[in-house]
Amino acid sequence: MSRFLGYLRSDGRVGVRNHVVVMSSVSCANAVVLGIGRQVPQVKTVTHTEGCGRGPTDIAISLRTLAGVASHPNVAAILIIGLGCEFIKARLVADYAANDKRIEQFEIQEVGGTPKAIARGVEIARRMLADASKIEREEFGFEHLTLAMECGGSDAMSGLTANPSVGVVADWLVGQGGTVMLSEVTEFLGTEEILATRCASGEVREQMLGLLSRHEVKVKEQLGPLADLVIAPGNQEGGLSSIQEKSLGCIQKGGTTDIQAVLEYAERPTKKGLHVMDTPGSDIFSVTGMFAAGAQMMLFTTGRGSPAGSPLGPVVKVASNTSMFQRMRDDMDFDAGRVMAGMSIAECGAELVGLVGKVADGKPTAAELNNSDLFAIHTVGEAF
Amino acid sequence: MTKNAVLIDSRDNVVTMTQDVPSGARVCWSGGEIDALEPVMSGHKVAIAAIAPGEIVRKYGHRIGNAAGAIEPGAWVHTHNLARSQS
Repeated sequence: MSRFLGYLRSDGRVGVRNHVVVMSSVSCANAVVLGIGRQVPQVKTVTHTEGCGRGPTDIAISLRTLAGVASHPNVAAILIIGLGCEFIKARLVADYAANDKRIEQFEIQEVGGTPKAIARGVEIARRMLADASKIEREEFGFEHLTLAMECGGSDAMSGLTANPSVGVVADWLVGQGGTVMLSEVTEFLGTEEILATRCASGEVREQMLGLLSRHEVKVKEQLGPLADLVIAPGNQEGGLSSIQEKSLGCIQKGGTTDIQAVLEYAERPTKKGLHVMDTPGSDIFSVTGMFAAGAQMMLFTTGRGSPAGSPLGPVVKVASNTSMFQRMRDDMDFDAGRVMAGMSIAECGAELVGLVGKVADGKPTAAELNNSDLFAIHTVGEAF
Repeated sequence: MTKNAVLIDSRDNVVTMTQDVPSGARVCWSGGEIDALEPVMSGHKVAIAAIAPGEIVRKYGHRIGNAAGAIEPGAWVHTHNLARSQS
């Protein structure tokens, strides 16, 4: 398998989905966005809590994230709705996203209130859907694919079955010339020595170690001086003996190749190969940051069973154990728990590579079928 | 025999159980087997080679700590006999 069927966009990137999105630039516009979504359920609605009343760092993160949605390769067209008096105006997002013809925007105050804004949005959304349906899939090599790797609701088997299998996919995609993103930096702590030997250059090594030390300081501030040495009692009961063991299980998802660059939250990669993004470990913030950076698909490992998906692209759920896979069958896509019964990680990973190809071609994931369209923008400061 | 443990990297000197085993039970992974010297729960580790005091305990091909004392093949490896590695 060396090619997939995707949608070519005007900037040369390739989508694995052809979504029409309706998104708010500020939380005040959420009701209009959701109102349009009720009347035109074929669109993906993106609402959030940001857009105004934040310091400059958070405004920059939010703008980068929203612009990343607007320019996303899985998005055929997007309607951005603002209020009119907010900081992050719909026009600003469209401009930041290097405005092209797939982006339209208007403000609620300018069109005369909520019902009128919904009516206008419905009309635009229907036109966008009709236009999007004319775009056809074409064949592309996997160098056009960016896969984001995530874990959530982990259990004692996550680092043993699901994460190493996802790591096989990461190495395969990097070998194909594609791009992989790994995030959740707080879960790397204790693996500094190992990660330092896996950076593509001295500059990347400095960025990586700087990032880890900033996260360590943050964790210490929040959790006390021993936070970097101890692991949760539940982790220990599950069999994890040290922070190194726990974090090694987490970074398995990135495979074994060198780290090419360290990215800010929602920052688009400019290189191919393995990337590390600075996100919190909290799932939906991390998922949103990596999709906003342009990942078209995600592999998400889970042991306890997470139903999380994204409006921006398919999230493939990789179960770490067969009993949860069966119990939450409608939320899961792949059973890596078979490694527990003797399936090799190489074999399990190879099967998962096959599923990635099918999902890229259009096979819907469980989270897509469940309309699990979760979106949350990371913030670092206070709201004002 | 059915596998009840996983060896993640060929350089590792521990395997991880995927089932609980009582003392004396056979621990089987892809590529080898050994008798458990004590009961070991699922998710926990068993030494598959003799590990000398201070020697590196390796999982995922990397150090997860150092042996706090001599660890016999088949012994349970956890916080009681694993010194935190100094990083």
